[in-house]
Amino acid sequence: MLLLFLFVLVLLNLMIGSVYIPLSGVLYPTEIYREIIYIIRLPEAVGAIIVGADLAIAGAVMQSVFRNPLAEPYVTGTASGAVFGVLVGFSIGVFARSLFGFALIFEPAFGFIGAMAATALVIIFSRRGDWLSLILAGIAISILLSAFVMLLDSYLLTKTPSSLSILLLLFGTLSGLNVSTDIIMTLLTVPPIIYILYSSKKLNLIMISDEVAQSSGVDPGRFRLLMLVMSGVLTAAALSFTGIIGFVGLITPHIIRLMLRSANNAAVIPLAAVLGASILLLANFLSKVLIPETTVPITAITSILGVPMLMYLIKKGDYFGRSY
Amino acid sequence: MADHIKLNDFSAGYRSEEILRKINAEIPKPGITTILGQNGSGKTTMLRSLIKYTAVKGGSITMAGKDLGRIPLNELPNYVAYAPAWLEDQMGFTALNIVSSARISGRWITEDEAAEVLEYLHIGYLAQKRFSELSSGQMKMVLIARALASRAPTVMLDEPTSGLDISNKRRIMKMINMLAERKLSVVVATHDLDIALISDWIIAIKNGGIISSGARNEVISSALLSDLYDTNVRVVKLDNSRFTCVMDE
Repeated sequence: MLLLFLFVLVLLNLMIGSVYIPLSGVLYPTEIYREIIYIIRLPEAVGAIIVGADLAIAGAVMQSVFRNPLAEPYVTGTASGAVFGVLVGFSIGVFARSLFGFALIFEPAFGFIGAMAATALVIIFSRRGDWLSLILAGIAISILLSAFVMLLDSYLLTKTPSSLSILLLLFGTLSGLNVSTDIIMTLLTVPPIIYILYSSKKLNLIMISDEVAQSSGVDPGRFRLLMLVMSGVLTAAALSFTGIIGFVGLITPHIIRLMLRSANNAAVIPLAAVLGASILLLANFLSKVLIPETTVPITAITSILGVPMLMYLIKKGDYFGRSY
Repeated sequence: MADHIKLNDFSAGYRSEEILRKINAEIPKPGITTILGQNGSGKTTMLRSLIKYTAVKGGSITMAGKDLGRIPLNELPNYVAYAPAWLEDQMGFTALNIVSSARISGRWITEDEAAEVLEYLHIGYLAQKRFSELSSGQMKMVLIARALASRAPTVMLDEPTSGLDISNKRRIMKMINMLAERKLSVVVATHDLDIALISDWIIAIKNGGIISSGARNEVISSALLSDLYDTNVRVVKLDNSRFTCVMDE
């Protein structure tokens, strides 16, 4: 079911853009269509799948690690940290590019450092075991880092006018994705995903209780740290070339848990990955068709899709136990 | 009576705080051992020490003749299983999810095995229910099922009857007896005297130290309980095998 949904969305993404390609054109492309599809749209669709899967998995992992149904890269400040790091990496990359002729890896590398630093700050400033303080600290750090991103952005614009597209980092866009970024994202994404899937039952344990995890042979502190690093890598890989994309990591695991009526990560994580990829393809499609002749920022779409779900979760209340 | 678990001059706590001081005790197998004491006396810390979840300040613990400090964490489920007093789930685990998070000899148990354990304890009907929607008695039963599912020779239960009405308490006590009948060592940390009275062995803790330990009939006395709880308690003999405790003037 989900895979079929994903497939249909891939087709829609290949058809829609500044030039409309009919379905027959996608299936039997002419010379021109082939160029548009293989050079622009297919890499963008593949990138959307990777980014969506990464964010959904990072969200499911963070919700388990923090035992907090609202945790996800965007809410916990990880995403803003990643994007701030990406900009720093970009600045260094500008010089590196003139030295070595390539610099693509600087952005995810610094994105990862930024993601981990922001997450660490949020953990330091929140009270242990209190889900609300984690979210509030995450929002505070996010706002601060977004301000830094704007400052750095303005500065970079005066130095390198060609970097206009980095302004989009604040809003999220898939238009910067191409074959090289897809390759880098895949390389950064596949190892942590394999490890997370392998560890999904351990994630259940730390979601249940630290003592229960310990008695079952899993060191909760060490495992949490490891999983946070993995979700930091996924967030940095996903957002380095797209900018901030919110709420995919938040809503996707919840939708799957509601569908399955179970929170077993061994089932939730792979399905959330497929749904996350589908949501991002849908958002990309909508971002192109919603207002004709322009592309709407992706975060606008994911927020419109995600916030009602967030409101539902807040209203439902019992989802958060008896913490307040 | 083989000494399954032995604490030798064992001291432990959290960070710089020392809670248990120079504990010497034996937990035999099989049978029910109750760690008895007031709230805050160190009962839970003692259970947590047996799963290596405290900072060791001195002495040692041996399990089946091996030094606990040298048992790798991933082999711990082969020795002990632990059911916490309470847990809060906000994600929507089912009872079956909770039970199937147990491990036996290096592997995860299957959902079928988890369902079997629930059936064995007569709570199969809870399998697909959300854990967060269960009553506190049902939650405790599911946590006991989880501990049993790991097939460890020692099952540790933290406050398994706290906050329960009398019929749920009786069901939990029946479960404890079922575990004991399987030749397991059941270690219960509790302030509930009713559990103490169905136990084989008692370890009485006050302010982080042992004030008495041994076979139930030798340890339980009005004087000991009064000292343990800092209030007058009288042990009343009902018949040859049954006691009850009453508050005294």
